[in-house]
Amino acid sequence: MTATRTPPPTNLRKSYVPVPVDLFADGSLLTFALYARPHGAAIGCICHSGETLDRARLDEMKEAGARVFYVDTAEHRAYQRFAEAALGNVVGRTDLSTPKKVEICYNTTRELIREAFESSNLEQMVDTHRETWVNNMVSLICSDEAALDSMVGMLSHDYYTYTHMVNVSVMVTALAYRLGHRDKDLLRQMASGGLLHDIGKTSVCPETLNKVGRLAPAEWDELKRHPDLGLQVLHSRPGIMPLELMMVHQHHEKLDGSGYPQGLLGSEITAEAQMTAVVDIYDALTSKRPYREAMLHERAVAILKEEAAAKINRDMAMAWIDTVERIRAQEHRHD
Amino acid sequence: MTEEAGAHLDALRRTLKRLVEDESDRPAAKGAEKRQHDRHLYMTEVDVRYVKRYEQVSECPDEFTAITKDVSRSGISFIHVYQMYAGEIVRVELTVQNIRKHLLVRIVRCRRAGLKVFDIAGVFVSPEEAQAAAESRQGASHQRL
Repeated sequence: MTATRTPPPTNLRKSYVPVPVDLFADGSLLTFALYARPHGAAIGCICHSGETLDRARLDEMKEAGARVFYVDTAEHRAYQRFAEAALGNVVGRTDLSTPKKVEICYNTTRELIREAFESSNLEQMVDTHRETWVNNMVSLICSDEAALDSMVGMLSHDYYTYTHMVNVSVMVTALAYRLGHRDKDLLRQMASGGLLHDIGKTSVCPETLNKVGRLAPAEWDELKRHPDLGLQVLHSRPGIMPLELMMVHQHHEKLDGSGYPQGLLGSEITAEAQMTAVVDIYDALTSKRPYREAMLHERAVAILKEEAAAKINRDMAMAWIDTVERIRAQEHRHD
Repeated sequence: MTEEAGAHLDALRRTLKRLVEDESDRPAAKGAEKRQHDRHLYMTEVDVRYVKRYEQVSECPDEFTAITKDVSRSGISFIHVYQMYAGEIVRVELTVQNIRKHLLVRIVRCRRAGLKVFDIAGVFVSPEEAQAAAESRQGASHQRL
């Protein structure tokens, strides 16, 4: 379950940012210059700012072996605006397969969320990227059920909070779908709640978030405030529904009352927050963290089953394990 | 007072007694739980009214009676049958030596303390801070996150 991404040649890293070829469609009007490096030749501009990229040029570059394009770092903001708009059209494109659409949506959204997260531009993340992501994901799922499996199968497992947030969005929507939910509004809210579930961590100091060693009690206390902080940030934002707020606030609560921040019991925790808890634990365990390597799926499943004895919803945990194992079996068959 | 409210208060009093007994045996808290100033046991009924409330998720009535547990120079804790949320602001009205006093409190913690009881702690805030927080509800769509 790893995203494939070609790193740029090292000598290009200082000036250029790699961007996915397939995000560009016939007729894309660019507000930045686009570069390519076909056949390992010298990098060259293939479309200037203000020009329109046509199919012939795109096909020519693809045939010449260009797997990524490049954008000058000085024009990255203009590219981001383009990417945001292009993402809105990805689902309707007929020249892309479903797995390719999934790959573009996931990787580009993760990149946009990373930028917003690192620049603390949470308004952009909450108001713009969230809506595009949620609409794309639900449209993809509803047009092709296989899209969900593709998404779960390609998730990246680095330790960055922004990757984890996008992963939980995918996983919790997949779990809801697996449990029989088909209402588009509900799926949108779940995808959104999953994306926002750790937004409170933007208020936690990065040294605590990325600490390699054991957290001191005060650091642990600070980290445990993130559900409260997330609710504080989001409670009055327009367009955020109570279901999403509860996913943000309750995803660390446990059925036996041992969770935080409030120590709620059983049905006091919303079903959506219980689903979030299941996939949040799974993604945390199977992702590399500053303080440990990623756990193997089998070990993560064993821990989920232990938790399901009293702390997390057993039916949801088993449904999630079943979902992942089915997708893994499909991947093995394709291998 | 309604029969239900009376039953709530009885339950709160019983829980408070247990909480106070438990806490008297517990070592001082560390980290965020540690208060800046010494806490003093202070158990009395107080009237609480919301100044800023998380409307979308709160199930708490707008006004209610709670029982205080302790007080310090910087904050107060009380117990109540409904959940509250960190960041909400309330006005706590109490009588000290026959004088009615109002304190503005920003909730910093709410934790279950029994089957239907929550242990809630807050810090005192200025009227200006409470006013700004209350107004931010209307301007929320424009505020920077």
